[in-house]
Amino acid sequence: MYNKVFIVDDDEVSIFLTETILEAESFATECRGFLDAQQALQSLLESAAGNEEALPEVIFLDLNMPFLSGWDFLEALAPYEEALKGRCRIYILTSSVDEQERRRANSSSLVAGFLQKPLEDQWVLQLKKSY
Amino acid sequence: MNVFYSPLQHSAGLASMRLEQLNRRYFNNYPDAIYTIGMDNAFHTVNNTVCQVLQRSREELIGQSFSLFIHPEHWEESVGYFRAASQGAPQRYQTVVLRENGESVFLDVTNFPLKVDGEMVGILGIAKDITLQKERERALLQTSQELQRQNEELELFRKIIAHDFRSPIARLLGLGRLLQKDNLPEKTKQTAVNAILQSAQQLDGMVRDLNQMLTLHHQGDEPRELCDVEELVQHCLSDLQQEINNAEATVTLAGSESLHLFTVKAFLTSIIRNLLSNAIKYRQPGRTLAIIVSVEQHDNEAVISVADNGTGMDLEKVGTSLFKMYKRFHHEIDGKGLGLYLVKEQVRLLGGRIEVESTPGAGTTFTLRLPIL
Repeated sequence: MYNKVFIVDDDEVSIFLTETILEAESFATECRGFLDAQQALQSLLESAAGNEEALPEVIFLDLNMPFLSGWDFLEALAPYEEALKGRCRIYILTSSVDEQERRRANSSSLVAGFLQKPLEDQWVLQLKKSY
Repeated sequence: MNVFYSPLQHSAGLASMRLEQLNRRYFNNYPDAIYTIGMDNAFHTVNNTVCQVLQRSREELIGQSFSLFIHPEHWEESVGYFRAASQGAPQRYQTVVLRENGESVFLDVTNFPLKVDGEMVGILGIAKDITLQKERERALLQTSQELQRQNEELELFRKIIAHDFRSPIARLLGLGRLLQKDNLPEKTKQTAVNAILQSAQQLDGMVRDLNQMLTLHHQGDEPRELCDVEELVQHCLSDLQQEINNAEATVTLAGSESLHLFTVKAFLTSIIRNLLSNAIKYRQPGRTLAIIVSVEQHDNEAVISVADNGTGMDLEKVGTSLFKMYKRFHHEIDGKGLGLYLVKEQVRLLGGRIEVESTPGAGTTFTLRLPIL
């Protein structure tokens, strides 16, 4: 079981769904949902600068969000890639079926995987195995 | 001594007579305009086509300066080309002439220097009427611009389907699967059922919006009618009365100037309703919403503004995305994101423009400017 998981999504229902599935699979001790990507980013940046123990092990990141998109989020994290490596895995979790976005995500070294909503039980099980 | 005409001489004279006549006939009936202009800028000879193109008689043209018939916008360059040709360098250029009735005719002109015994006496010119060709070019340009716009929209629609329509669908799939699970807490079940309904409603709204938008794009020449702007605003307000009451908002109609616009009523109604509905949606919690709608006339424009004291936005952050499709700039508020896109499209179709001013925490003002025809 993971310690801490972040879900960053501007859609409340999406967070509810992801949380419920993760809970049902006993995925993590703590699931934190962020409706505001800016808040999640702030929390991550604070942890990455010295308090690496506080970093979540897994982040589910939505792409299409107002103000700060998933891409902006990744860009802001890029300078901290070293600090995040091995401690924090970022999975894109999006409802988009745009192939261009999948390719773009796969080319980003910060991204551990590209998942399409809705989150499926079998993926959750696989992610749990890789713990 | 007998005067004897040689048959040879005689037939040569006839032949030259015929050639002279043929030349004259050819000159007069040639399908392009042919003319000579003296060093004094005046027409010296003109053929029938010149008269047809300018719709003037030969008498009205001979002795008159050619520049009288040039479109004022082309006057300077035409005089320049004429000067160059009359100094010995042949010129080819396009210009526009004006008929007496104000009609413009596009011409492709070639002017040759005309010399007699080595001395410049003026120019010989040929002008082809290319008005039809120009009109076709313009129509073609318009068509290709329209095509390009439609292609960009097609790409936009692809994105809407890949991103925005997929979003409530993914939620519905996820929620459906969740409800199939056993041992689900009653509270989770209830949340899921509510969310299903909400997602379905959102999808329904998006389909309706998209349909409205596509219908909008198929309209090109909507019938315009004379509308009393104030009456139209009142109509929108009574449509939104329920929302206004729920928000406990006050709406003031400023600028009592009676303003009538010849416009597409449905568009203007939709624009104003969208702006009002946004003002209500993005009100500042804990502050009584006050909306001021003002209607004024500035020169040849109707200026309609909708000002609120709502949450406002940081326009630097929002940038050019404000009027795009499915862009949302507020958390926790159910915005479908199509409203302002529709507003912008409708304003464009009405030949107007829309501006926005906003201060975070203080409020937003949308100002709509429409031409008064």
